[in-house]
Amino acid sequence: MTAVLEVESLTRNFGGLRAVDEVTFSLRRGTVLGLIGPNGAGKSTVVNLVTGHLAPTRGRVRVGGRDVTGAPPWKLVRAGVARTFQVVRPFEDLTVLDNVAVSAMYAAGFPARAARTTARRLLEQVGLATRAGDPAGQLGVADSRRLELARALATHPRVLVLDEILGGLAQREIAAGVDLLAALREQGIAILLVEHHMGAVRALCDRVIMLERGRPLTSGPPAEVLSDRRVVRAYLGARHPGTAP
Amino acid sequence: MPSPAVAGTGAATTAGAATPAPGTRPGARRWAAWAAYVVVIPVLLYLTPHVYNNQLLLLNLVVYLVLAQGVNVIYGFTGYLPFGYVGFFGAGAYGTSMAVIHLHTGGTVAVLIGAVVSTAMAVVLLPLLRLTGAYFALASLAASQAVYLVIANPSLTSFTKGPYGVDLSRVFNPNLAYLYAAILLAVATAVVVYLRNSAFGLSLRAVRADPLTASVAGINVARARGIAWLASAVLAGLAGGISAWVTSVFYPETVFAINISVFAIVFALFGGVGSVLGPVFGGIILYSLYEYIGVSSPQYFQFAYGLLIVILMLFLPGGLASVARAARSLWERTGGRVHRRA
Ligand SMILES: Nc1ncnc2c1ncn2[C@@H]1O[C@H](COP(=O)(O)OP(=O)(O)O)[C@@H](O)[C@H]1O
Ligand SMILES: [Mg+2]
Repeated sequence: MTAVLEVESLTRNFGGLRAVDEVTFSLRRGTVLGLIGPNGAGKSTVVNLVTGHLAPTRGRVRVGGRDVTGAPPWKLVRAGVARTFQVVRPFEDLTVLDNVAVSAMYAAGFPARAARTTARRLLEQVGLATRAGDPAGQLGVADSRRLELARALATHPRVLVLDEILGGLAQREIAAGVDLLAALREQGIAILLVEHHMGAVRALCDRVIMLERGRPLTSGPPAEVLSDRRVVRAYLGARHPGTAP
Repeated sequence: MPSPAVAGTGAATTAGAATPAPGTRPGARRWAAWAAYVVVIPVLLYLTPHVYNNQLLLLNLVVYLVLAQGVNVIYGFTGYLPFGYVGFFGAGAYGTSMAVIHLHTGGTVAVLIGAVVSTAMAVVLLPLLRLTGAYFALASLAASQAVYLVIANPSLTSFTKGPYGVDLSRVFNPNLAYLYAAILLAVATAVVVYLRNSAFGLSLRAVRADPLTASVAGINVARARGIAWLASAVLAGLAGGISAWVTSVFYPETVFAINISVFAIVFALFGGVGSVLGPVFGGIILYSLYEYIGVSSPQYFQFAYGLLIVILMLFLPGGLASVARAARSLWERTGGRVHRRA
């Protein structure tokens, strides 16, 4: 079976800084790939490169075998690559329901009424149904993350690219988040998981790539990568693993 | 791609906000209300000359109400403040004039040609939408004044009549023009009703709230903004054409006066951008005020209205419409039935 997302020799410079350096991976349906590394390692830049927010200096991005390198975000999301933001960015003055419905209309192509039905179902799924009529700007941190996820799901994605979606959440909320993501994986959605919480990485990922200064330092099954001496040292050197930014 | 299951859930019955959000399907009663706004106000204005015998003043008012709705479309739904909005008005006026003078058309066809000209200008200016905030406001103003300078250039006198102005008295027909103005106001209001209730209007509000998030929701941000920009330009172009037709004899500075932008913006802001009726009521109130108090010393009003724009943007960005909404929700909470938030 072919990969839904393939990334080949992805490289991105910012002036003299090489933020992402020769990153290659592929992601199959129903699998989770973890992307870890200290702050500034280039994880969010990889996210921006595979979702069309940045054009790579070099390298290719393919979705379902089709080359989408350099395509704008709205085209990528229509092709099936949805993302969440590390710092949540809801449409603050729109209702929670409309935040999700607009994705269903424009990314998944639903007419208005069907989009709202889908949006309600997704709000139920992420546990936000009771807030459907509230302005999204009123949500707290955890609920904002749920909304990010619902909005991404409403695009009807083949690939979910999640940038530290569990960051800043309490232990209980992280457990709920992990369950939710595991259920999505079971549905066949592929997930690129950028995450600092090692418990979540261990529980969800089939494979993990460790980035350091833009370069893949090591990759493999989570148990292997997380016990790698270089990984432990890189993490302890920069920050304590398991804490969120 | 597998097709997503569209399953109704129990949650479907829980969403019952007092006012439907944009993009929701309003009930039949609400549609009737929208239809009434679209039709009744223009009809009333159309009939007003029978009781208040100053058709020219009324036509100016209706033209300003159209411009205020045009500002509503572009500013209220995308957040772009078009200080150069008058450029489309002037382009429409001159497009209409050139059609009458050089193509020897009648008034109706000339006004339509004027709208084509203002739309063409909006297409050329589409790249301005890459600017944001004050940069956009200033750039649009500069663009409108550039068009003015070209038209007023004496070396183009054989085509535009340069600074000497145009004379359209050959096709003068104020009654027909007034009818068109009233129809145009209905169209402009209908456009706003559409934006308040359609998926496209919702996408514009999403773009306005956060263009980056809008792009990951699958919205082609540049396209959505561009459509709103062109729609507002068409309205201003038609308004300019009708205004020119009635004014009959005018000069470039008449139809490219920055005041026209200032008035349209302050009327829209005062009434409340993003709402259907706000710009109409805001325009009626402030234009009447200007006509009865300000005509003797217009320069004070130009200053006062410019200042009012700043004050409104800082302290009452939702205008009168937001005051009305707040009053109604207060009424519902105290007088009406108990209204509890989940
Ligand atoms: N738009 C940008 N312009 C310049 N430098 C950037 C930009 N985005 C990220 N960087 C730099 O690239 C490096 C990687 O950043 P980022 O991808 O955000 O890391 P991470 O998400 O792993 O913390 C950092 O040194 C950061 O300062
Ligand atoms: Mg990051």
